[in-house]
Amino acid sequence: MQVNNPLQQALNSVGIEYRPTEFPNIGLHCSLVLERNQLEPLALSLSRAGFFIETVTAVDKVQDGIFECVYFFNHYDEALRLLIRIPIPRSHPVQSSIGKIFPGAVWHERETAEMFGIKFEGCPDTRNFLLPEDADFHPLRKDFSGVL
Amino acid sequence: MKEQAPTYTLEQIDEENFALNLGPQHPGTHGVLRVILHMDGEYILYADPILGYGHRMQEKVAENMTYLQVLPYVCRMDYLGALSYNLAWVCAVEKLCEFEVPDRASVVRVIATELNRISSHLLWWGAYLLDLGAFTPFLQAFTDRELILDLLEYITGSRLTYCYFRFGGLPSDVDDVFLTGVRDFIEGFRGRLKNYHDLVTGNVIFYHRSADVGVILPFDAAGYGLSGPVLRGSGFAYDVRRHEPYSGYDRFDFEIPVEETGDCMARYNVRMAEIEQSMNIIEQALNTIPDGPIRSKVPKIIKPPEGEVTMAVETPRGELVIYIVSDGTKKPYRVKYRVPSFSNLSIFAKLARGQLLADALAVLGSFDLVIPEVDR
Amino acid sequence: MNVSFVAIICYLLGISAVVGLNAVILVWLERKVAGHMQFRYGPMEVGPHGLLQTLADGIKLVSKQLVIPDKADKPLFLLAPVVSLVPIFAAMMPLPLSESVQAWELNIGLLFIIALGLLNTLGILLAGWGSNNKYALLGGSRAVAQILAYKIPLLISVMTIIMMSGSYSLRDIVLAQNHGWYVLYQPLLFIVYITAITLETNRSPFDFSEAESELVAGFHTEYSGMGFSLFFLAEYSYMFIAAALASILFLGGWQGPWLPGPVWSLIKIYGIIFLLMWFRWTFPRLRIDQMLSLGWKILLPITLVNFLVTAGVLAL
Repeated sequence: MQVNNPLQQALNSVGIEYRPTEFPNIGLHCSLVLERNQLEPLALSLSRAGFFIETVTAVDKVQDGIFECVYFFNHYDEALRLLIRIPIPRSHPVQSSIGKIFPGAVWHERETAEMFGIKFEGCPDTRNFLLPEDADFHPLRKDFSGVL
Repeated sequence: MKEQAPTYTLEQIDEENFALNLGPQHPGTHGVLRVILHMDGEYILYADPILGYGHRMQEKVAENMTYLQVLPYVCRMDYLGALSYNLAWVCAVEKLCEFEVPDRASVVRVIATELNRISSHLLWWGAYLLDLGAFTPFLQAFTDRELILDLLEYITGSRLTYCYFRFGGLPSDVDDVFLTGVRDFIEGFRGRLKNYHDLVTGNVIFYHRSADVGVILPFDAAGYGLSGPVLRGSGFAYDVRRHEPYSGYDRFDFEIPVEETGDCMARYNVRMAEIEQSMNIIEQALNTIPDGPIRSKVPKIIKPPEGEVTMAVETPRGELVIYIVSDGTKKPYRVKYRVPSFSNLSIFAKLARGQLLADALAVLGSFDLVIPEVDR
Repeated sequence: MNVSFVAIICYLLGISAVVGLNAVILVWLERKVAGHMQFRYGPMEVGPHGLLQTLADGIKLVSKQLVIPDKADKPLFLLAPVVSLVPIFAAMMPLPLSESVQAWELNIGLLFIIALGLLNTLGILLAGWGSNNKYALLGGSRAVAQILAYKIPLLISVMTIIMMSGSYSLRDIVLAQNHGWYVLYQPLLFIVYITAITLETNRSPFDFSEAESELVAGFHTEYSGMGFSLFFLAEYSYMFIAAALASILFLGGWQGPWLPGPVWSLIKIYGIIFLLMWFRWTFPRLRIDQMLSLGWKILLPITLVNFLVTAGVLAL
């Protein structure tokens, strides 16, 4: 593992410790659990370090009563796949948007918003995306049964 | 020089302009993509892609199926590069459950996937020129694609949505008929690829329709998360096969074609060079294919340990990431497919602004979109 | 000019036969040319080598319903294919196939044909406007946008020929080429002329008004059945007329050794049509602005300079 790679620099600049994971086992180079307010500065610093957005999604941890917002970033020059998890409460599913920093994230956020019912604050486009425009159900929630 | 129309936001568009509903049924969108174009004459002021006409809720479906049941279903996402999806899913589950894969199986997987990549690129080649108004290349590409389909049909049993790989290896071994067939195809195809270049690559009309059209700047590439040939046309040598080798790709010697200009021509050149690199990989694989078993022992019922796995694969269209969260049961807890066409298409609205309608469709064609993959 | 009523009927019947037969042959030829350029056979089922395929398709087209869109401008919508087709019957009158085979020897035949050829664009515009479809409208407006870009170079190249032959009559122009076809004196002009008629007949690489991958089917998006087939008939007839003019202006019309005049005429006409088909199945389509700059910045200066040089040479 390199001592000083772009990921380490990006994380250090916002004061987050860099702890690489075992890549061959889980396919990630770094995995972080962050607070909601840490996301935007980190995204900005990642954008400056040349990282690209892979995807934004969520996992419904219904037993713990949270949604885990999951962000994947990667770097074009060397493979540094970074996974960021941000737990947000199921009762108040609001997350801040990084659509202004990574314009590609807007589509991913729109998809996550309609699938899980998570509100991305500051997302430039909040219409439904893959679902019909009048759909008000959230299919990827674990308590969605398919019966309306 | 082409005149650049001013760009507008949606609110600024007035009654002088009109909205053109491109799709969901349109010959230029290659599937059920719909784009609402706000036009000023022939110029596009604002493009608004509307997705979801092919949406099947693949991720929710996967949550309700066992790992094996999902296997044939993932191939339905990208019907042109089905084996890459097949490979991604088996590799992800093998990584999650820590199954071994015999060497022979890995090499055969590489051969089959690369053949699939060539056939996908060939279809793109024809379809892109069809977008530019040339009809003949489409059928010429189909002639060669047919040979690949025959070869793949021989080993997989299907012609489009292949499902050939299994957890821990392959269901059946390949024989000499297939291997010599591939060898013959590569030999003949190298010559015919020259014809392709003679017919199209040097054509002056083709050059003027492709060069300097739909330029993607390197900065935008990162912002929109592009990957695959669309990205490599903009000067980044990012290829999952090289950066995070899987299925033994690190054993093969191949180049990553890169172009700096970022226009449609660059994406065209990258894909044409990739066809040649794929042939190199297949040739090396044919020469080094080991003997041995094709399947390792895996349990009948797949029950992975609790945990999660991320598996990235380079499909013909770019980087596919499959993210599986397992809760230790027979069914995955959560599956996320990060599909390349989705991210690649997201930059279209930005590129289309101020373009002529014909250019926008050329750009759309140069992305090599598979809409069921975008919609999932 | 004393043309009796019976003669007019005879001309009309004869020209209708030429229009119909020409379309049948050209559709078949187009599909055969396309097929063989793409490593396939083209139509093979109906008749020997699919010769009767076009007839079968024609019967199918005639028996189909003509769907009129709800919001379409109905009179214009129905008028458009007719406006496109009818001028052809008149435009074919002064065309000589040989010294004796000619419906009507008109001393301004060349101008007559070119003027009537303009009406095709009117038909396309009416179809585009009347369909109340945005793709059709774009197709129609493209046809109007390109008309000046190719008509002016076309007219100037025709003027050069008129200057050389000293006559507007097609028969006289052919006879003036007794000592050498004009293509030998004006090869550049011939290339310009072929480019211009490719534009005029809306053929690829200049098929802007029906650009399939952009405008679905362009101006005839909403047409079905007979309306569609009338446009088709018109398109192929315009190809015939344009190719016939090219053969008369540059290739010496019916002149040639051994074979009788009409045979030579048809060989030359269908040779040029084959060339147009060859273009269509080889080249990608240009962009509309590239076509306009081709017309205004390349074809027009070439023809103008050529015109002046020819005038100078003739004056000497």
